[in-house]
Amino acid sequence: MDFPGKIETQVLIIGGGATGTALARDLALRGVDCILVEKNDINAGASGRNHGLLHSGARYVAGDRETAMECSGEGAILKRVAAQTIQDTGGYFVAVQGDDERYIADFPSLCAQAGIAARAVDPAAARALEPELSDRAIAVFEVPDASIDPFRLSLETMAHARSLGARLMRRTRVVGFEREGRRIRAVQVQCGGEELRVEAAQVVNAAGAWARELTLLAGTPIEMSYSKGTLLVTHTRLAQRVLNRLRPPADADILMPGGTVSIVGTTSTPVNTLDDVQPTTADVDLIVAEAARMLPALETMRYIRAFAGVRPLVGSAGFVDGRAISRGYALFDHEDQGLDNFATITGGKLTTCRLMAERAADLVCRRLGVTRPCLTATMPLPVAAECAWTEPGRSPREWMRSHARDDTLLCECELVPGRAVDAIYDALRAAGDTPTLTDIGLRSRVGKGACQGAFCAPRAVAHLYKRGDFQARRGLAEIIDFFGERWRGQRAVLWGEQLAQAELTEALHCGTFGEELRGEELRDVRMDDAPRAAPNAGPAGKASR
Amino acid sequence: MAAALFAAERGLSCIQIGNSGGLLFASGLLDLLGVHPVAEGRLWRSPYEGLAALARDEPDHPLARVDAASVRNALETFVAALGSAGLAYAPLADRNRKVLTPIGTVKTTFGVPRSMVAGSYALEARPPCLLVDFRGLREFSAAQIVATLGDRWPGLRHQQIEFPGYEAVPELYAAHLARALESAETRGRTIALVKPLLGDARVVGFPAVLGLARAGAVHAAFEAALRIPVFEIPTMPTSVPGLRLQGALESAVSARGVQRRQQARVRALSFEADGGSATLELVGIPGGERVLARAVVLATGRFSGRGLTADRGGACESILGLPVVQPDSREAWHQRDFLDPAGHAINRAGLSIDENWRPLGANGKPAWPGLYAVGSILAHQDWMRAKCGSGLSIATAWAAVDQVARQLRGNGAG
Amino acid sequence: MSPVLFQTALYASLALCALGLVWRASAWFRVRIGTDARAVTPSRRIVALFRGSASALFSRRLFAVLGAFFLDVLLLRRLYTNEKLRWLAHLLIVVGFTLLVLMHALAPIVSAKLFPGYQPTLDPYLFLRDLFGLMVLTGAALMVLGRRSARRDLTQTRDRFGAAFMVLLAFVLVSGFLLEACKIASPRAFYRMTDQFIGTSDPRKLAPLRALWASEFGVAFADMKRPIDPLLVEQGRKLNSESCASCHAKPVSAFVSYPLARMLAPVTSVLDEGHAEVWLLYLHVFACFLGLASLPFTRFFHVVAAPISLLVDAAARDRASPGQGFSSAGRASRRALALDACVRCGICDSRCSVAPLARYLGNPGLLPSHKLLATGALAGGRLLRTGHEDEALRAADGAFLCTDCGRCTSRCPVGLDLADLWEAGRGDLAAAGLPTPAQWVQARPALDWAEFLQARSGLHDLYDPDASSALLSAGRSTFSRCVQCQTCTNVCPVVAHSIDTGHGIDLTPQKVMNLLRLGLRDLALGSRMVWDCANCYQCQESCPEGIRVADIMCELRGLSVQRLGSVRDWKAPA
Repeated sequence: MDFPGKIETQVLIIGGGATGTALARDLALRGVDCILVEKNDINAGASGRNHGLLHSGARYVAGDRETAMECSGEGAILKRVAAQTIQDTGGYFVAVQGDDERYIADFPSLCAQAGIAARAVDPAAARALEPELSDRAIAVFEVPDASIDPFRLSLETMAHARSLGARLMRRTRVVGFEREGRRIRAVQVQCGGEELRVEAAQVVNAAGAWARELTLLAGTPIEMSYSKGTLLVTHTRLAQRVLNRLRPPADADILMPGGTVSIVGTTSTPVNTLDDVQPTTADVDLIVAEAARMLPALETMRYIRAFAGVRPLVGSAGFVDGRAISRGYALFDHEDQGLDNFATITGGKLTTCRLMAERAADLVCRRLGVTRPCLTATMPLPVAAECAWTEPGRSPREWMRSHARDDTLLCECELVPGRAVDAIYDALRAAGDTPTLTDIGLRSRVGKGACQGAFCAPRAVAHLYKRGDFQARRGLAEIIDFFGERWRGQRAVLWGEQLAQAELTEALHCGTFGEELRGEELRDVRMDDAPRAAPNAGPAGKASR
Repeated sequence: MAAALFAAERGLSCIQIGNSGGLLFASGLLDLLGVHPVAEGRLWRSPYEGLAALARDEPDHPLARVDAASVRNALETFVAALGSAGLAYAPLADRNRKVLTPIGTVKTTFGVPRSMVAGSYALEARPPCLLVDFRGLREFSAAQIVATLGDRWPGLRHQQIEFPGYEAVPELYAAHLARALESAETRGRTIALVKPLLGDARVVGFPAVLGLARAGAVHAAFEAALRIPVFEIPTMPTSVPGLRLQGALESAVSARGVQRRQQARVRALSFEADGGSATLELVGIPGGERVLARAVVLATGRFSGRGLTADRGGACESILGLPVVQPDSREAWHQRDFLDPAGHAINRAGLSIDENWRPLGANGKPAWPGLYAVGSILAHQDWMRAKCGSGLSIATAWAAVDQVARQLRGNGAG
Repeated sequence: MSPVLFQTALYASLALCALGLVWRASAWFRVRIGTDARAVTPSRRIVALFRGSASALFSRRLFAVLGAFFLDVLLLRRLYTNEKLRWLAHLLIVVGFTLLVLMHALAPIVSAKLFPGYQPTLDPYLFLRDLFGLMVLTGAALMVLGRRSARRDLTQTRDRFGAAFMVLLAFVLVSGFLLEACKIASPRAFYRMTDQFIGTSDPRKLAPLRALWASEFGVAFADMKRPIDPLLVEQGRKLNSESCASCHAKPVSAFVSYPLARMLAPVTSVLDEGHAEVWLLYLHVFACFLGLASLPFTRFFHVVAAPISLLVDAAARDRASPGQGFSSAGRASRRALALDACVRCGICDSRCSVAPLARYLGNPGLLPSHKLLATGALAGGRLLRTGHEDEALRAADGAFLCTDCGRCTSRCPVGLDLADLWEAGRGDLAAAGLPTPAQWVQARPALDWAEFLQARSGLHDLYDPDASSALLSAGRSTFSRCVQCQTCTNVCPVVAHSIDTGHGIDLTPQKVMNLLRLGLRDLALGSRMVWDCANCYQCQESCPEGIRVADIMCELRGLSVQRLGSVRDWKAPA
């Protein structure tokens, strides 16, 4: 990435999740120049490891009405302005035998008080529409839940922001703040081994779970605890609607339609570290057992992936029950901690990201003296062609509509064509980035299907070599990285058919390709005691060989 | 398959049940022992020396229980049978060979089809070499191989050509190309496209599509026309060498009088208490079938072959529910890193056997005197990391069939 | 009967018959079945006929043709291999009728020439005539009974005047027997004969002859005293041998007419008075002439068309690829011939692989007998008239359900090339805007069909209305074992040979399976892969995970017709 030695901007945003990207767009729409730095890639944190649920808010009516109402309002806004990222599937709240009867009884009125439309449905009728529902369902309510694609949301938000002048620096890590009095003069970042300085009038910390680390670095610490949530991805889609468990929020309450799959979860386990947080088999077993009470098919379902994200919970440093803490967001202006141009926005939910960004942007603009109003509640999010490939089920349709002879499918599981890979690759290159296979995976469905990259990674790499984009041993490294990433999600769900698939994959990648030897075999190729074959005396015509 | 082959060669009447679908995933290469110890990633030039080390370090490893002479005999017999069915292998030496993979890595193996062996020699000598690629064969990129190996092999070049007749087709499939090359006209056109590109190349490599049923003839035709050694590079599954291997084994086995029930599965397997015979109830055949056998060899493979199945509670053996040696909890099954050098613990799970290749039952004794277990279903081995898959299957099959013969002659242990 | 009348009627019938034959045969050169027949003029077809016949007769195929003549036309070998009872019935009719015609109807030019001293009243002709007549009647009765068998209740046997002709035939035979019976029993005939050959008709003088003839020749004299004096009979015998025996054998051997005559004895005088002999003769003869004249216009034209068809088939089969050697002119003529040569036996229906579906789907239009008539109706334009839409659509569906197994063709007793006819018929259906599903589905890209289904169902993308059903293509467990190995695609011969992307497949078996797994069945339903699938089952047998790929393809085809079929909003052309 080519930058002049000194980088200047009005606002430096740290963190490329849902909030950070929304903030960049909000500010850009208000005419404020901003740069977003992200130490990994878009949605690398919790924004990329959630259900993808656009809450109606009904889940929080009992304990957290404020959040419930925020979700309700924001959900409606997003359905209007970001329709292309949303599948308005509707949702059910389902109680099964043994669930808290009082909660069920209070539910409709609580929803009404929060302004959320909840309509009672006869369980038999519900089962006719959702055949996988347990026949022990005793109460069902219909709510306006929807499914949102968080990747497409953030990617298109950032694309729009950039089209308005905002800049994005991926794989750029903040390593220090230069403070002068009550202001941060510059932020030191590391990008590809290079140290850079960013001078900004305002700095916003939108780093999600990493927000606390940054506040420590800035000398204005906040209290935060971390809660790990694990989610599972099924092989095929089980239900059309969002299915929530009608009870006080607990584990494995939600089954989301995730396009061509279903996503079920989640858990809430306290963790102390943000590094290498992975789903465990215990998490998986818990979710399967619990969720199967609502949807018995989950017991025998093939799962293709598990993933875990860390929720930042603002407030108490240590906690016993993560669910008791508010899911509301927190905006810190740090003025009482001695900084006037620093802000931290964290916590919250995916559903409320726009609102969080608006609040942060309001604060920043006030400090900057910018009076233009927030436009994100009404301005539609434009469709960006290279971001549309994340939408499940889209690439088969696009490819079948028309494709050139050389535009072959690289991912068979999800039918992703070469031109998707090309578009993403080229877009990233145009931005000065070095695209990796993992980047492509994030921005498309490559590797998200049944084979989890076993077949599509080699195909995609072969394709990129043919295009001339990959050189030398880059492909091997990319395959190893990409598949390694996919593996982290798989290992906890390897039983039954997915284990059979994984075994085949290992047979291919290790047994045949020898990737675990990392090419060390090459060193041993010349064997001294081997008879050197004369170059043109091969087996043809020579019986003795 | 190997067990059926060896049994038939010894004159034992044999019926083989189950499809050979697993062979479809084969690369056509026969591994004996490539890496030991797995955790160190140490490669061996001589697999027999490696086996000796293995026997010392891992006495429970199935290959440790087969003596070197038997291993040799088993492999020679196997390769000879394949040869008689039209699939020729390069003569087995006492050393491993190296073969190119489609992603540009190098694989250590032992038995190499004749159509691929020129590649092994080329890897050693590194003469000027051309790798030919077909537009539309998605999982194969000669450019990638050259790029990955290029710094170690300066004379390696690549060229992409159109496959004759398929110029309008977006995606090519290896099996179709292989069949097409069995026509002299298609061959001629392909060779005509390749010849001008040879330059100073002294050996030329193709993806493994040189013929399917008549692979030997196609390969020879290419060499004759191009006048330099020609070698094939294995492709991704389902690959043509896998199809060839499946075809050759099926033909070899049938030719030796083995009855096959390819679409059937064993629904129930029961034994007479006094050890007389076993009864297998088959499904998948109209009307069902019942087989009576004096010995049963379980060669059902691991999870992908459904010899072992796993649910969240653990792994079990599919037909009889024999106890499976395995890690205590599922959390220990797999490492966090896919390519962890130690390998994944679940890969070493499987059936324990006694010295006569009989799987142990719940009481630690052989489940039944006439029941044997061979191949990858056995515990204490990680064939994918040790690169010993074929050797494991073939050598253990040999040893077990030997034991079966002894049992049937009345000399074997009870 | 007056010779003039007889001759006139004969020649008139012959002329009508000849004209009818020519007219019917001309249809073989006029009727156009199949799109390749459009380009061929009738004159070209006639020329092709001559050329073909010449090349067949002046080559070694002559032997095949001759062999076919003896074995298939005369001895009805093909019918024998199909249904022995029917063969027997048909043989009885054919042999009986032919011999009857030769020996009896054409007696003056056949029997008289071959057997000098032929008299119809002599043995063995008496016996043979009745035998042949009975053979025909028996055969006809067997045929009628056989038609009533339940197995073929759906067979299309409708034809013009067929039943009437059968009645006419029966009438001819029955009137013949009756006529003979009357003649045997008639005293008036006796006296006429004695008058002519002995010179008297005086009963007293003829008493011995009368006695003989009453007791042994079945004449029913009203005034005969019973019991008859044997001495008189013996006297009569002597007289008989002088005057009558040279022309008259004892009619006992007319084993049908004689008993009939005996039965008629009580009413003989009435019949005699009423000149029954005469009008029975007229009836008998005119019925024959009517049959002759009307033969070309009824199903019994097959006596001409079927042998031709069998000979043509013999000439065709001797080539390396049956039927292929014919030029399009020849093929066109042969198809038209088939419409006439079909004897409506229903054997094709009984062998049809998909016949059970006719009952299950309630559409007998898939049965070969129906398809043949539909093909004819289409060629004649009848199917395309307003008011016949239902019939037309059923015909199109029926054409689709044919699996081209070829059993009907291999079994047809008259050697019709049904396989070619079905193929031609499908082309005509398509040209009429009535394509079979494989054609109308492939006429639009798969995506268009998907969008059509979406619009119709109003459900959003990825919604599968069949998710809970027992359908293979919707079932979760159907695909849960797929490891994406591509074996199904690698062994698929359709993919291997699809090198013309203009008309080639758009998906592969693996892609179809993945689309179904993703819940995108709508995209697969209208795809060319599904419709080009050859049903060879390689994919299903090779799949290492046991996924029922071929069965799923079949199911998709069925679902397509069901769900996309409403787009076929077809109206007869104005």
